[in-house]
Amino acid sequence: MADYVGKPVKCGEDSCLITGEAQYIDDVQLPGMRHAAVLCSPHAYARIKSINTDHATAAPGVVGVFAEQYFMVLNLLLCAWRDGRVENITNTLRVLESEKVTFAGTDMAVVVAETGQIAIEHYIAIDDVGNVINPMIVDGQVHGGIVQGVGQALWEGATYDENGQLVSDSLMDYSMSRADRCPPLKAARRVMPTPVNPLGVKGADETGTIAAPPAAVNTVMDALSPPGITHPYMSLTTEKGYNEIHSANRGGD
Amino acid sequence: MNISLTVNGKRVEREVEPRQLLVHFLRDELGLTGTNIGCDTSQCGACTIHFNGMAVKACTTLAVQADGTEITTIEGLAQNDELHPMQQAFWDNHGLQCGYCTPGMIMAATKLVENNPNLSDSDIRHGLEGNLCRCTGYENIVRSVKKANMAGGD
Repeated sequence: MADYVGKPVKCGEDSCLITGEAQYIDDVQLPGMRHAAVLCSPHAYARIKSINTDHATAAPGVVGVFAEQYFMVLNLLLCAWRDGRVENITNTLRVLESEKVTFAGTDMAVVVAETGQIAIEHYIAIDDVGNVINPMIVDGQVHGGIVQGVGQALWEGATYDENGQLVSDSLMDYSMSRADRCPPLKAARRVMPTPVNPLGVKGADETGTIAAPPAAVNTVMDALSPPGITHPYMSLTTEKGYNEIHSANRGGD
Repeated sequence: MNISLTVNGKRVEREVEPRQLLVHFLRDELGLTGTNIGCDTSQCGACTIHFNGMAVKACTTLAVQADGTEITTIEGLAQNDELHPMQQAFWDNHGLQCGYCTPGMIMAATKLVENNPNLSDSDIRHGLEGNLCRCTGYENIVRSVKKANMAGGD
């Protein structure tokens, strides 16, 4: 144990991932394998009266059409609409308004220039994940989480049009974090083993995603406070930064 | 249409539909499933291969365009059971987690380093801007590319 715990250990499964030998679902070809396509409702707030399966059933190569399962899928989707969760995603996902970063030990520098382009210089995370088994893995998990959290705060977003149609539904339209926009990351640790499990370990991978949005937004808020902007909403895109600055300036005139 | 090309050092001759994409040709015809498909639209770079010595996204290249070319996929990067320095660097530096972007990331990174052995972190980030990764936050990818670079690259 002492040879491994707390030391970087290379991942055994990586050898197949770096050589292309790894098998993903898309790579699997089984004898007699069938493929399924799922029908999704193009409408929001729509009620399904019926689904006509005749045309699909008659098409060459179709093995079967399962309308009942489709209903289940559609119902799940429609439940999400009825819950108003879509509105929650787009409109009411309000960031913390407290003046402090509430996640202890997290620090971040964000610079807002006149153009409204938000530039991150560096991101340092200090997390307590309890005892660290493999620091290489823990650092990697924290890095990934930070970029997902920063992405959520600054440029990623589920965008819907006035009909409830998701318009950011592919990587053409969804602004996922790319290497050139991501800051250099530093993951540091303060280890306090938990008494509630024998290994003394705590969760690690989610720390970045939890701390990064408030850290990013609070830092932007701090930078924008001179023009009087007190509650910017995620995601803080360049356009939003520009508009916030200019509307605040106009209000002050 | 009939095409003949060299894939990972082997001559290949096949009849293909004019509309077939190179990535589907590699995966479905030749069984080289190490080249992954992420987005179909040149956004994510998971399908990056070497096409006459250039890093190219195979999801927006037609198979017929590859007629007479030399193609290298991730499967052809290691030589004689010895990992390419870039593959080794990714492994050593935890430059991957789920591994789905990794073949494309490694293929793009090898050409990036070949074309310029003295890359800054910022150069690497800009050079890999066309390859998306959801897991790593890019930090360890940049580190891997830099380490492969320092080891002499290839």
